[in-house]
Amino acid sequence: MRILILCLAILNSVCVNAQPIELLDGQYIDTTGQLGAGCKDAGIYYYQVNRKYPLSSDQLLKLVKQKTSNDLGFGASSGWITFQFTIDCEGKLVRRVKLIQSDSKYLPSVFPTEGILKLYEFLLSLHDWKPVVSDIGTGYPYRSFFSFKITHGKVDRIIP
Amino acid sequence: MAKLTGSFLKIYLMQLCICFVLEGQTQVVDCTRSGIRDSLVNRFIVMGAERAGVFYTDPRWQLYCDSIVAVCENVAEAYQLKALPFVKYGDYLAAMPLLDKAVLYDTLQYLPYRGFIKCIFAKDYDGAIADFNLCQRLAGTGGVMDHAYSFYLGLCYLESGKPGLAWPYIAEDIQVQQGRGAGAEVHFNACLYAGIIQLELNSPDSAKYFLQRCLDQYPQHPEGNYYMALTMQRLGFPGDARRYAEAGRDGLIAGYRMNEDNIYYVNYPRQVNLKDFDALTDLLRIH
Repeated sequence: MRILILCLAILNSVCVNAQPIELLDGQYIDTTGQLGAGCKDAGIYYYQVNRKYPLSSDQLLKLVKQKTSNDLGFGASSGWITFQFTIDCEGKLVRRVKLIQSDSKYLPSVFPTEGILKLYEFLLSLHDWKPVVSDIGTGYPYRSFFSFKITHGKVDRIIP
Repeated sequence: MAKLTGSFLKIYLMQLCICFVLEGQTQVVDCTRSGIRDSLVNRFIVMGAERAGVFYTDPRWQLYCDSIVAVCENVAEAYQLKALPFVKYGDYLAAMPLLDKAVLYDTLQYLPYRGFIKCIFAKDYDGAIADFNLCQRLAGTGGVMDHAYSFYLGLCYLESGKPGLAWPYIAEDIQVQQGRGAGAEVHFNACLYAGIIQLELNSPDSAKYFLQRCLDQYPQHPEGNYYMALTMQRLGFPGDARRYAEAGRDGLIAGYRMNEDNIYYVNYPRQVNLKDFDALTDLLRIH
């Protein structure tokens, strides 16, 4: 039984089978995670604690192209796909992730879910987030985002 | 939660009171006067949100800004202030219509700012080029966030994969800075991008000249050293290339950065980090 639970937990951590979900404050790609009880959200953002993901935009772009073959099924669409999320006190991404989609004119848009999930899977494959720990050893979560700029169906830039 | 609801209620009631007060004296509030508009920003942001310790990441910030536009809908700064948290959190869908309104009400002030946001934050190079071209038509030379319009136009073309189109703009930026009189220094990042463009144009000698100017002012500049290492490698000086790569890595570890105000929010074009230096070191070792 324990092995089965362990397998399911591992499977859950590596597989992305989420679908966009409409909530009161917007659309989410994943709502399966939450902050641990001892990790209190103080409304801190990545830029207040100098915590951009420690890879340059060009390196991230190379990685995403390797991992997705840039085959996202977006056709000729252009725009931005943004994932907003929280990094917990241990430096792990909390799987409660807001999704924002816009076209190249900054108007609301809908990209095919399959491609969005590939980008989300890429996001989940990044494990070098740095936690924030105060001088007295208290950890703080912080909010961060990844925005994929899509040009003619392909990832053209990754922000920030 | 009760505290937050109370705060929202307080701000809402404040707005409501102002609406009632203004109801009977609409003619008194002349929204065409810049002094009136500035006083509203002062009242609700400087003496309101900031005094109450409400930072722009706080949801109540939006209400303070809304209080301004409830009185005068043409206060461009209020829309720019409303857009701030969205710009810095990757929500361009929410940010850009607000910046469009800021531009609508004060074009000369906020068109360059919107161009800057498109270029550096949203990486919307076509949109930024359109904005900065219009800036040049409307205002001639000018700048935003420490740099001339031509600097950003150069960056946008470079990032669009058109270094040939980028070069005249960066060259213009450098020329204008040099024309400010004897001893006038050209911004080290203008020299950096001039060097990168020249490298992409397959002119390593010229790239070396501009990157050296960047490093003369700022020897620890990580990107200056990184691209100088690539340049020296291209010119056939692997020893020098390794020396620059080491200097850039040391600078980065010691905390030196590009010195642009917004690098905390977003990576600048061609900005590098330690992993880039690792890859560069491997490349130089192989060759």
